[in-house]
Amino acid sequence: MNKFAYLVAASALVVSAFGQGSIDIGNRGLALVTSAAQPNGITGTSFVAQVWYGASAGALTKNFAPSPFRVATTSSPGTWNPAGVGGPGNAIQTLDGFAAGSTVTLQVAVWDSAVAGAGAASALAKAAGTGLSETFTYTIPTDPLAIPGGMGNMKTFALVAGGAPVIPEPTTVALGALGAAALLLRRRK
Amino acid sequence: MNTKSLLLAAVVAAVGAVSGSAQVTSQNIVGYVRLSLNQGFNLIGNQLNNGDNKVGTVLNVPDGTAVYKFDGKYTFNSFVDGAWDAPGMTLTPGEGFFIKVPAATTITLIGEVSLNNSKALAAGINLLSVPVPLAGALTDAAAGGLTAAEGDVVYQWTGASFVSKEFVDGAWAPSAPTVKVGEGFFLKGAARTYSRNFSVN
Repeated sequence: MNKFAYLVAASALVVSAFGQGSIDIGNRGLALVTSAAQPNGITGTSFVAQVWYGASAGALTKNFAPSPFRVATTSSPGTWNPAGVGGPGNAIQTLDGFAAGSTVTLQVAVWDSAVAGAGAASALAKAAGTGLSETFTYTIPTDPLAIPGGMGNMKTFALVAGGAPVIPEPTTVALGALGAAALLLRRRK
Repeated sequence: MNTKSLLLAAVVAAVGAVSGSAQVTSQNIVGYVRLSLNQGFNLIGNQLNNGDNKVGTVLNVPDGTAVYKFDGKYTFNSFVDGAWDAPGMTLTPGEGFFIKVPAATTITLIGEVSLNNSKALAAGINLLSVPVPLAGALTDAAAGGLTAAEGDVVYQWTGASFVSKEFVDGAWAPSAPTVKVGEGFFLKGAARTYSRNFSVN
């Protein structure tokens, strides 16, 4: 077999073996997430970051499990840890539905999981105390041996000012309603 | 890459030469490493000194094999029609490299264990292997012998993509990297020297 035939065969092998693109969803060494209280980067494992992705800014329908930020004593404030508890387990993940060479649009949502009611929805709605990055893009390398990037185009962003939203849990609301009803009944008697 | 068998034979020859009251001892540890390669890309390293360590001396591979070394960018070398395109390429102990084979195969690397190894690591990404044929934790003094530095990231090949492990706040996440005999890996970190000496004592 001549060299050209080998190259053709090798190219076919690459295409078949690397159908799905990979991404590094970590931001250590890149842009950070800050807040008014932590201008050098937020810390605390109750804060989580969720990476959303899709074909365009209007179609960010897929996401990875939320990654916790690091402990208060970290040397890398403002960065989340994909290997942390509850996270996807590894910084390098597969982009479902995106092949090598394609460009994917991304956005990062941040919220404090210790705040009742806070979640991706409140972050995407830019509620106080949550954070939402600008959308940015990542082009998956065509070279199958390239170490994937991902967050390189993300810009530093801050949590929305105004403090954490205090959203009562449903059980709290129900207890409050019961208490109010009891008071009303007592007054009528 | 599946390591079927490790260092199967090791011959230790200790030659003592007495000169006056001083005794000089040399150690020569020779053996081989047998590696099972999957079709496609495998990330491996040569861990035995084999003379000039030229690619044609180190590797006995089927036609259609390709080797990719990394020094900031990849250097490609292919074995076609019974010859390497770049026969001067070397694969020294401590270097990692991708090898792409047209079909699953087994290769045997032979040579002498390099006792004193010191490699300058560039800032950024380096493609490495442990310079001696030992398996275990990469940062274990009895295995990989690499001193981790804050911010290090190790990338290991799964056969189709990478997994990463980072050293942040003095700990590896999600777990400390372990390597098999003959395995290559990427290390991203600060410039420094990676020393891994070996002694039978």
